Amino acid sequence: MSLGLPSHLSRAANSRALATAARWTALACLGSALVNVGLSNLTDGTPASWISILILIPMVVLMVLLGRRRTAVLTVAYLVVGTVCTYLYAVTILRENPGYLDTNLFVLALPVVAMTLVGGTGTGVRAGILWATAGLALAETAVVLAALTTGREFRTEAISLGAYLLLVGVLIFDGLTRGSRSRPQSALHRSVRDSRLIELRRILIADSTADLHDTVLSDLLAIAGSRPGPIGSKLRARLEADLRAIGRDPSAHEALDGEEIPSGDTDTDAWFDSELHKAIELARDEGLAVDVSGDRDALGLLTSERRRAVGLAARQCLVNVLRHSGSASAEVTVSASEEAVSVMVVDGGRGFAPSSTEADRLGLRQSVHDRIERVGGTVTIYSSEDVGTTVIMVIPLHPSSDDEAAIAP
Amino acid sequence: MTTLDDATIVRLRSRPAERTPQRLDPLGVQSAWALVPVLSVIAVGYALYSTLTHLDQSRDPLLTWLGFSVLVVVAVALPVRAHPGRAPVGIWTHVGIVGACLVGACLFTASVWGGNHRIQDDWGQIVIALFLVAMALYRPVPEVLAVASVAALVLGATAVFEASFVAIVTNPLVYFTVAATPIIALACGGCGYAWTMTGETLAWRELARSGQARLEPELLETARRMVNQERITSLNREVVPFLAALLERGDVTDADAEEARSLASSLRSAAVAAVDRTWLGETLAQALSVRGEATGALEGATRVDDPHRLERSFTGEERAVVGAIIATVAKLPGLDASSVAVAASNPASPVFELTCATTDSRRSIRRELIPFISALRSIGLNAGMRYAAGRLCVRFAYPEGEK
Repeated sequence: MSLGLPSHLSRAANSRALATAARWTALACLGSALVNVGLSNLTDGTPASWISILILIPMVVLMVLLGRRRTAVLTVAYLVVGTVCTYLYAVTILRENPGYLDTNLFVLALPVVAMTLVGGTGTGVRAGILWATAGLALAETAVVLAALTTGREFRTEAISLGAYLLLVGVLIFDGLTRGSRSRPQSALHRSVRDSRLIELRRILIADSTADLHDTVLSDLLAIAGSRPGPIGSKLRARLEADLRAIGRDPSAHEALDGEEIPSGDTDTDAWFDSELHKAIELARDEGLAVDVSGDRDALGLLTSERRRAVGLAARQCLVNVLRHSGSASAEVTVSASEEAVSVMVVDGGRGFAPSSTEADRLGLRQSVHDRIERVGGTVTIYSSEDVGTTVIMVIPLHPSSDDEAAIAP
Repeated sequence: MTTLDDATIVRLRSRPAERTPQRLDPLGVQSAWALVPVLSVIAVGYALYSTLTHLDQSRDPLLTWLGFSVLVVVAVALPVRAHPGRAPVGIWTHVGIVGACLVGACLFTASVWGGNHRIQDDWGQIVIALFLVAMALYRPVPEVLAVASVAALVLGATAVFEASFVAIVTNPLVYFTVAATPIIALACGGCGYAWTMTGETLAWRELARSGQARLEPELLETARRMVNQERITSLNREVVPFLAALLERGDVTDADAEEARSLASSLRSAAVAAVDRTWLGETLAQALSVRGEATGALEGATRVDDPHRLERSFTGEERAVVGAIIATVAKLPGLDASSVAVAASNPASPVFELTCATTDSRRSIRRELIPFISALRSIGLNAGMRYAAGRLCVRFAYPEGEK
């Protein structure tokens, strides 16, 4: 269970939501415009006047299509068709209503607003403002031409300008507030994980307590009930078995001073203490679902410097997934051969051209390539649009002397 | 009622969740709150302009300004009520805001009745439309559309009756669309936004749920490792050296028997305490340990006064937010870690209080905690914080517990 969208997904979601808002508003305006053109022709009743009701249908169809798939071609088509439809609509309205002496009319603003709102249909701030401006300009031009055609005075109305300013304001606000939820959202994601971890710990503690009761506690009670003298063979065997079970070699007398405390599997420790594990936890805090697979203990085969290098490089890969891929999940796979340990970071989001030299790819080059190459490893990237990205980092277990020199501070 | 029974837990956990951005994505709505005062300012600005340009058409300027005054009150009330610290915005706030606006708009219309040149530049429909855009963040889509329809119907019908007085003679139904369209169009826009955002959030929840399920083996391994380490560390302190020394010597003495009895007693007490650990106690201990405080889990438990285990009433969402509040409090730079405590009371409808001493400023504490308190309120709990004389108290309770 998680509250709210993580920041890296909220940007795209917000963009889609604004697009829907713009589309629904535009369709409502076009619906109202259809009603108005219908009302204007109601008294006439000729077939030609009823056909004029269909004037705005192409705009409606294109707006619906834009909702399904946003492309520049479709947007341009909407603007071109919309300009023609707006012109025909304005001419029809002005001709059918002799009382309309100028163009400062709410009913004429309806298709103009619908044209302006094309800027909100999922394009981002800058492009959105440009499309909206183009939509407003073309629609107003259509109204000017309609005024010239019908011999009416052209007067600007405030409604479409107000809609334009509102849209621009919302787009700018959206751009300014993106990412402002990041810190509390991370805290919530971490809390969700921690809550579950605590639950699991409580279950395991109950098991561990039962186990303790059956072993060490019974041993102590047996000793407490013993008569002074040599330890019986059965009790000795039990004590030795129980000490072994809790990770202590009963014959290792030098360890009895209490200085050496076994803490579990060293390879497992290497994983939990590694930068790679921290990188994964940080990405999870940001709301990225990271699956870990393969032989995680293989990380323990690497020296601490190489573990750190691969961890920091993987962190950059996961940051890239969060920033650029638009994917909600990623997978980290660890594997080992006799010569090397491989760490693979895979996402199914938007890919990129690996040869890209854009500023946002500098992190990949510097933090991933350079870092891994400094420890004698190699990085291979497979990426293409709509398929995702795979970064494979291979770190040798026994680097050359040159690599050793490179690692040294 | 003296204990928390299963029926109460089910009742507390099964409160219905509205499909609103406020409920499903409270932090997102908090960051969008700044839009509300901006919309209010735009609404007041437009209404002022409209009022001034209509003064020469007004039959009763006092009524005109009265309508405007009602709007100003609404424009101030909405951002205040919608502020994250006062979440959630309920149905009565929604109805009250739009209703009051409608009253203001009707007062305006009444004041210019018979003298109004155009209906399209009246402020009523625009202002109500702007407020409905904001309301879609807080209230369910059907409710916003229903309120918008009623408002559009009232203003539209008024416009139809007013049509015979205005300058342009046309079909009265055209005036209905002039008054109703801005309300319906912008309400549709707001609802489109809310519907998509909540849909995206629900889809993400499914993803998060499956991601959480895939994470389970890893968490289990982490938990196993933590429990194992804790157990070995505890045993290595006294028990293991005692048993190993005993084995080495090969003889049991009276002193050994006595020490074994004592160790068994303390081990049993520790085991009982470990089994009695609560989620709240563990969360508190973990949060303070991140701070570097040498607080063991058992000590964390002693700081929690929850004899009836009222924490069992928390849903997963509530635990996430409460856990985040505890973690955030533990990170306050001026916190006196030894003063942190949690108390739970009222099994019929649990009330929780997290108290601590801190030297942090009220402003910084609010900045850190308000997002979570607001989130807690948005998901249905009553939550708040008090800070006085260096003592902070964060309180969260089930609504019935606030009687």
